[in-house]
Amino acid sequence: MTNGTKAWCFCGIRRSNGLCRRFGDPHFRRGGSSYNDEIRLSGGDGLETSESDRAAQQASRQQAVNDYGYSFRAIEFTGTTKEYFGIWISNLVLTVVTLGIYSAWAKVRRIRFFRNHTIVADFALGYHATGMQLLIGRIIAVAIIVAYSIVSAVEPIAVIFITFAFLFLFSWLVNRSLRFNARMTSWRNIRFNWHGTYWKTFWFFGFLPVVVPLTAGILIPLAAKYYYKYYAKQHSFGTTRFDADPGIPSFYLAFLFAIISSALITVIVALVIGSAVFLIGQLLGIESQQYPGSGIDQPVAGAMNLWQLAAVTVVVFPIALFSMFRTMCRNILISSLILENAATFDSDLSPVRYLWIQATNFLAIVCSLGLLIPWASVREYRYLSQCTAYRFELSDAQFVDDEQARMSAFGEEFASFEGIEISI
Amino acid sequence: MKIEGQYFQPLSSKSVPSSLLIEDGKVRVELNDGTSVGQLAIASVQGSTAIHFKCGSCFTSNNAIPKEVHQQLVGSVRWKIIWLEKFTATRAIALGLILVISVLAYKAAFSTASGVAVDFFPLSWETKIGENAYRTIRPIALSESNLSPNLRGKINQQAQDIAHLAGIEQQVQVYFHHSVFFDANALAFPGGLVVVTDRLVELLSHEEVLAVVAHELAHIELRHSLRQALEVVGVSAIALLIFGASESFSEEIVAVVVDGLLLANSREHEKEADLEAIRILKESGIDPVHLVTSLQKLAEYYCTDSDTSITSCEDPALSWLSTHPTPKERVAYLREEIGD
Repeated sequence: MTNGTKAWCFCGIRRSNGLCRRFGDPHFRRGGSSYNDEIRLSGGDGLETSESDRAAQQASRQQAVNDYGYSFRAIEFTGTTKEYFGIWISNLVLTVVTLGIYSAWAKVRRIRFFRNHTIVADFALGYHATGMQLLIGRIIAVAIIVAYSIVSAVEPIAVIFITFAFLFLFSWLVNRSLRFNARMTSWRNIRFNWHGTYWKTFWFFGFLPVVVPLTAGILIPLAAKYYYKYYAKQHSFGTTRFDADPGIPSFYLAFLFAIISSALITVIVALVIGSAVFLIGQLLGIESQQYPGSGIDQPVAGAMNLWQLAAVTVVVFPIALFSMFRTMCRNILISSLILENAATFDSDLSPVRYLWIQATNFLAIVCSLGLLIPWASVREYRYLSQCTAYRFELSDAQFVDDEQARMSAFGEEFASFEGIEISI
Repeated sequence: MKIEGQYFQPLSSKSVPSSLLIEDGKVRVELNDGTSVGQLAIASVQGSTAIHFKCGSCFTSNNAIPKEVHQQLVGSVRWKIIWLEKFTATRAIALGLILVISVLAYKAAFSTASGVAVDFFPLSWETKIGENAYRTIRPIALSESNLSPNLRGKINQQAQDIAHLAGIEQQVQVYFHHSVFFDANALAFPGGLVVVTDRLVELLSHEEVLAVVAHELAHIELRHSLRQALEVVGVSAIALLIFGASESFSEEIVAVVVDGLLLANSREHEKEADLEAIRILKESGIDPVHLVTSLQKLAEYYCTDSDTSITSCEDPALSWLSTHPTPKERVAYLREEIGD
């Protein structure tokens, strides 16, 4: 696929610059001379600029090329399993010994390890939450959850009112959680920020998740496009806003691809598990049980019945579909993401490979009774970093930040306890 | 001590070549243009090169910050934790042992603590919890009884008499239901509510039914449901705090472990209830051997049922998954206690 041509690659997804992403290939194309010839001159919003402005921008971009090369650079992750294991096990012991009080500092330590080892243009990310912030937020969250549990046991009717109130509280919590996470992360002394509003967040996190499934999945890609666009546009780096306008067809194609791939993966998994069960049955001489309504007239030694195969399908298919669609949505979003005129981004995650990493991580953790959690975490994060890239459009981009009052971590901690995780 | 690097003004990504100096415990940054920034309070030291100050500025060292400087900047407590975090095989094994010992100690402590908490838990709250639980289960798993009102009234009255003679505080009430889900069974709810299924009454003799009711009254008297609930809340809360909620898979592992611990607890409670039931039956003038015979009849009923997928109820390999000790174990310790 050559630069500038509108060609379609086998995956059916092409980028706006005509280049095809090859699934499974984590290496980025090096731009070379063709990129230098294609340096964009617009100001990013398509408006005309004056000759002198264009000249200044061209010079700045040339400086960026000199400094960073015009090709995308993958985010570096310098953390190792050995280093993280030490942090993980000491976190665990200190938390247990302090009856959970240290867990807040442990969370800070854990997140800081990953952030501090994430390198963008030779500078590491920073994480600025403190253990005390998280602990206070956590205590309030636990107190509310315990009170809710007691009330629901003693007076179940009150649960209806509390649940109703929680539906409206939810968007406020999500906003606080997103803002807290953003403000606690920095790069080159500038913190990120979140500008989402209550009602827009309610629309995307409260209303759409209820309504969209009723459309039998038809509107899922459309909802995903607007969700990811909202997620991107409401983030900023200091006072500099992110922008993204991914195309709707990309999401529909991604959804179709995810459905087909997930169906294939489910069939493969069912065959593998079924064969394994059969072989184990044969080896151990186990006779199968006839389950009511199984649909199998003749018992086959050690084989799975239709109900068990259906159970595998019901579990594996949605997990695979969710993982693959989400991965491709991330790629689409990040590939269209820009930081005003300063930087562009790219993401080349392979949905199949990422699903494989997640599945094998899960198996490794189960088989090791949790001892391989550090290895799995580092492995996944490293892959995400390797497949995410940036390109600076201006070498002298200077960013400024907003003054912001100290934040409470209540929203983040309550969301964490309720299993609410908002990310791409 | 002087460290070369880059200084970032508050709220800006622009860096200026500078040097960090530490004199008499105070941190100062000298910019290359000759100006100096003093009275800098450290917010955090991140990675091996970045120092963030509380005013919002930042200093990034060109090379890794020397150990002695790092120690000065973070303080002794934090430095000890950093030492603990440095991986060595010996340290990892030692930490693992401390972890195991702590978990065992907490398990013992929770059992004691839940016993104390139960004593302070109001009976009225417990009754309310039991009633709510019954109301929840009833439409799902219990339907109208087919037993005659006379029989139901007789068993209920006798159960109340047994409770009174045994000195049980709670107000006892026995309900009868037909249940496909529970089959031949009896359930004790916190606060004094007992449910007996029609199938149990059909299967056992009158005295054997009363023996089973006595077992359930023992659960109520010993407040096992409440004790279990408090232990679950205590263990789960600590587990949640320990693992946090962001590592959701750890939560699942912990839930499985907690369930395993609770199953062990449940078996202990069943044994306690069996032994206490003997006392209750003796106080009421009912021969406790009826408890043994009822268990034997129920074991025969469940363990030879052709519909069940479990080929043996006495499989010791599966006993740790059970909420009850095996029928064989129960009969053995009951006979020993009765002196039969």
